[in-house]
Amino acid sequence: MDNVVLSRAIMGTSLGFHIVFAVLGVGMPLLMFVAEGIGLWRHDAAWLALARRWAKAFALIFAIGAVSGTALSFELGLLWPGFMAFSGSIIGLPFSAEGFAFFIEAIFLGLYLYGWERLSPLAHWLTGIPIAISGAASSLFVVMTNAWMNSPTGYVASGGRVIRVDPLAAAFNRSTPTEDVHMLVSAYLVTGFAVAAVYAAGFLRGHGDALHRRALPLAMAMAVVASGLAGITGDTSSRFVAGEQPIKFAAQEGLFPTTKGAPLAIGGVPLPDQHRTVLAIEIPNLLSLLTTGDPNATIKGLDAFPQDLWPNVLIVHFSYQLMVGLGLALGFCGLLYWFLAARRRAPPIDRWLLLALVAAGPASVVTMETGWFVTEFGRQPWIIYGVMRTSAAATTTPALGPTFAIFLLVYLGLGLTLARLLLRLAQRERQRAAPIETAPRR
Amino acid sequence: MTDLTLADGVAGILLLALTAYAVLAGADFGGGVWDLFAAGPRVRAQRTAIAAAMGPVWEANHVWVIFLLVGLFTAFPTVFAALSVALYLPFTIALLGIILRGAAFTFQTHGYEAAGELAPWGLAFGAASIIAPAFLGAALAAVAAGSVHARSGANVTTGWVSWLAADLARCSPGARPRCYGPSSLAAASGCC
Repeated sequence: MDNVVLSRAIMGTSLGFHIVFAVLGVGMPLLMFVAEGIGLWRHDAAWLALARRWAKAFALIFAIGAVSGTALSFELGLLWPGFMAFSGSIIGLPFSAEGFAFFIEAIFLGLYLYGWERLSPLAHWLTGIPIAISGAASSLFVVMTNAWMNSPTGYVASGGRVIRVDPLAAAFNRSTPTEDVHMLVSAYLVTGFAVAAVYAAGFLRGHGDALHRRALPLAMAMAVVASGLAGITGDTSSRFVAGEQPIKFAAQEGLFPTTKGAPLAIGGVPLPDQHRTVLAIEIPNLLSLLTTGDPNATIKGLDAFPQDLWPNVLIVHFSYQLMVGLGLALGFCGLLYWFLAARRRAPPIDRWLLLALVAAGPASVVTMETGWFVTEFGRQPWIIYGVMRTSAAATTTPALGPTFAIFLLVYLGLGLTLARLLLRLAQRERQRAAPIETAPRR
Repeated sequence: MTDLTLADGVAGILLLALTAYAVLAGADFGGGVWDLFAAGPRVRAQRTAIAAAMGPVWEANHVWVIFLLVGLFTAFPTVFAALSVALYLPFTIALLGIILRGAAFTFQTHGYEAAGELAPWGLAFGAASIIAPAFLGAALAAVAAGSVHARSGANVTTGWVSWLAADLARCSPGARPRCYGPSSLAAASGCC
């Protein structure tokens, strides 16, 4: 493998690993804040115990997020020196802001985790606010820099060097609104479904106690609201990409010839060599209708662009189909849960529904990861869209192969250990949980 | 007296951030080294005290290195690129140390496992606490020794192992290397 492929492999692995912890870092503080708030409001020991239990798991998750995020800061330079030499000063502002947001999150999380007995209940609950806000802000700031790679603005370059920078214009580029909001709601979506999956599994294994009866509906409330918003912002994103990066859009839809009244291809296998997508279910005129509001509008296909500017159509189309398909299924799951809850006036715990919710947890992570596959693979061959090719940005060091192998092993070890410790934590907490059911009001 | 430029001011701020990281995170790394070599009848009490002291603060102390990286590539992007190429190996090893140190510490303190089960992570915590500052110090020493050159216009510099040669020369017996700036990182590399 050459350096460009290896650099992309290392960066992709690091990002794909980190983002799981990053989205939980956005969503978990909000869940903890709500649970603790309800507990204080209603003097309910079970809600407070839930917040404490989540805080213990979150301490582990946040730390792995912090160290894997540090890896990314280093890797920007270690893997992409050409990119950073050009764009470091342009995207520095949102990265610095992210640093401050992370600083605030780390400080207040320290207070939160170690302050249960030292702070008054109200003060402790309030330290949850800066954690939740700075977690969300971190996501917004980091995604701004990715948005800039898709819509590079806010600078003047001459002879391959940046000579003037307008950092605010770079941070708030054309892609920022759609990317930022879609990622933020996706973070809440993944957190909601991931937490719901844990408690659905608990119900299935017969551990359904007072904490489970509170945790599952709260997680599903976050999940259903977030999936609705993810659907809306996803639709907005897609239509924005159609205008901003028509090649990415054509690849995600598997559309080769420029077509008037383009059909929507559901599934299917794109064959770039034959310039067509086979085995897809085609719904006439729907792509044009969804994209522009006019069923007879013309949509640019891949054939309108030189083939050396195409991304990997197979990966982009598959990823996009998987994201949309799973996203719709998740939204359906959430609606079904609340439909049954409303009809029965009690949160449903039917076996089949719980099984579906257990599957929805990992599915939500796949949805989010494939969404990033569309963004990142779809932007290729560019690292900065229309400005710098990925091949011009990679490092020249000869040590990338071993680096990739070592990082894969490290991430594998961290992931497995963390999973084992979280399971052990759940087990221990269950053993201690029995008295809570009968705990008197405080 | 020469006028200070904006670049000097930013470099000064980065130097303060480096000092903050060396002092604050340096103490945390030192705790890890102590943990590694702790011995005797009170070893358990010592390790508990180290964990209690580091627990609430190490993540906030750790942010300084991120601040430093971001500040460096924002203000001096070509320097950041040149350093990343020339010091690929020490930076990558230091990064692995940083990852393992943080993860191992967290697994140990929030792990809720029976004693002994996490012993490999305890070892990783101590070892990584030596490796990370040692290689960051080696990188700093290579810069201070002038073995990294950012040629104008190009971002590729001297060979990617030159840091080692520079450090070996500076650490060789008989040589009396000077200390540079906030030197606890450099000291950790054995070069001061």
